Amino acid sequence: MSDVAIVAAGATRFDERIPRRAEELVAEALLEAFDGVKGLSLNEIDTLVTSYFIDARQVAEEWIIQDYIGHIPRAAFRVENGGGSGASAFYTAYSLIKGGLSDVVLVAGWEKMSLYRTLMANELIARGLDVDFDFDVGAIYTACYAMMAVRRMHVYGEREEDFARIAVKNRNNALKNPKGQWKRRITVEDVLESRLIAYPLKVLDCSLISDGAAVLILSSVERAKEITDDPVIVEGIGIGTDTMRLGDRAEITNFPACRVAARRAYRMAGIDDPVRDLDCAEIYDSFDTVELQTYEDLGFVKKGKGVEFIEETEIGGRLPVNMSGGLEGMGHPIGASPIAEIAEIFWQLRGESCNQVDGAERGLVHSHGGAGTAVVVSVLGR
Amino acid sequence: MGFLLEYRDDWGMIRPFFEGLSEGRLYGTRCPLCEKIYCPPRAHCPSTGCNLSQTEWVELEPKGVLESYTILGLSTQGHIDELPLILGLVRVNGCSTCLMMRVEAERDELSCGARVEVRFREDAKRMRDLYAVLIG
Repeated sequence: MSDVAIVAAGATRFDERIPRRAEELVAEALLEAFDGVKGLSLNEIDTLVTSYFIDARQVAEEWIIQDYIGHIPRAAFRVENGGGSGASAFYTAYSLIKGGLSDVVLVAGWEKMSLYRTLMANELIARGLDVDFDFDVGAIYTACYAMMAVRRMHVYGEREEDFARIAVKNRNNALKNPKGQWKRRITVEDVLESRLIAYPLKVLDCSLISDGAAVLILSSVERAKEITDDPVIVEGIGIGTDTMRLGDRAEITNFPACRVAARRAYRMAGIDDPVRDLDCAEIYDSFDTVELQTYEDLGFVKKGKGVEFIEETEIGGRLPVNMSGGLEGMGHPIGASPIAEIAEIFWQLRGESCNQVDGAERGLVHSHGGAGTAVVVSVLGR
Repeated sequence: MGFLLEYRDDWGMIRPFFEGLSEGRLYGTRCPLCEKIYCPPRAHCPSTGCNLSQTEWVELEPKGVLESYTILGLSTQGHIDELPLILGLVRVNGCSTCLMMRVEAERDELSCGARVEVRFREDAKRMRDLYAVLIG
């Protein structure tokens, strides 16, 4: 069985509204990816795996994409796993190459959130809650994360200021990212004073609502040598799952699904001590609290001690996290976000990031759907 | 541009739960093998070893514990007028799971672990027609 490499990545800028159709965004991201390769033409991509989230206006949108980029008549399909769709598409692409069914796979994700007013966008995302139970009582997704945060404040004594520090780090990292949506330096006070969404989460604790697209091209390691001088190897990957309804879980302070995904990815990659063995990470900060909880579930620090690790995640710390700005800073076009996270680590390991961690050789990507209902962890290396 | 999406409810095998609401009764389901009680109810038990065995209906005393809560500054279309809205996770006594429901309380009285009673609005039909109040 061949090892799998990422040979190219591309992403549009992420923004509140980009006057482009979804397929035009994907084409733009794909053109960037093709800029970085030699000896590969579009018709050598044998399989396309796609990811988007909101089905409200156009269903089967992937069929427009595959046609538009000239992929027809080759194999293509969409992978759906909530906010983890993009990473699950990546997982599928990895499996296709590993299993020998495909040689070169394109993973493409996109979202056009600007088609909906903010209220409607939140509602469409909230329909990923059980509509007969949690959605019916008026919950939006933020409510689930807020209840997890309240529980952590109760059990671990965490404060809103602690959560805000992560939002500040990520948003300020985004200022170095020309593709990032967030353009203003902020402080902890700005976060604390921002508008309440679901106590204790304010609008600046939450990720952005964005348009954008991102792509990755994967191939076998053998084929990768013909395509690029600088491939990045997928060393480990894992998916873990949990219940859809938060109330059905035995544990709401953390994400058991993340621990399952990390254990699998670490075993494949031979990682014993993630803080020692990794140089950087992108964590799915749909809310700053998710990043905090995830430090623990990824084994960076013991359960309940996440706050102690925040300072280590700055550039220059022991394990920088969300150099791109993450979902709070770069932006969050749902179907594209996990793919952009992987792209950031791809660029980091090639020394090409706009917010480079010196000498990064191994990085982690964490993506997350539902309120931790589906979690994907990948380890990338040189 | 837009369109109106209407759909029909279908409670399937957990219809007795929703029928109970209109009578002011709270039902859960109990697995005869592992004895876990589910509320929200499930017609089949997913626990390891139970192999999706069919559960049985049990009436629950409408009292429990507030495991966590939040105060919403934003909600979905049908609930915007009710903001700020308090939601909580209520573990009805004896249950393995929690119901997410409205909480009617003063903000500074809320705390994780508080004891609550579940109440029903008149002619309750859906989860939104349930709410919890704090009890001593």
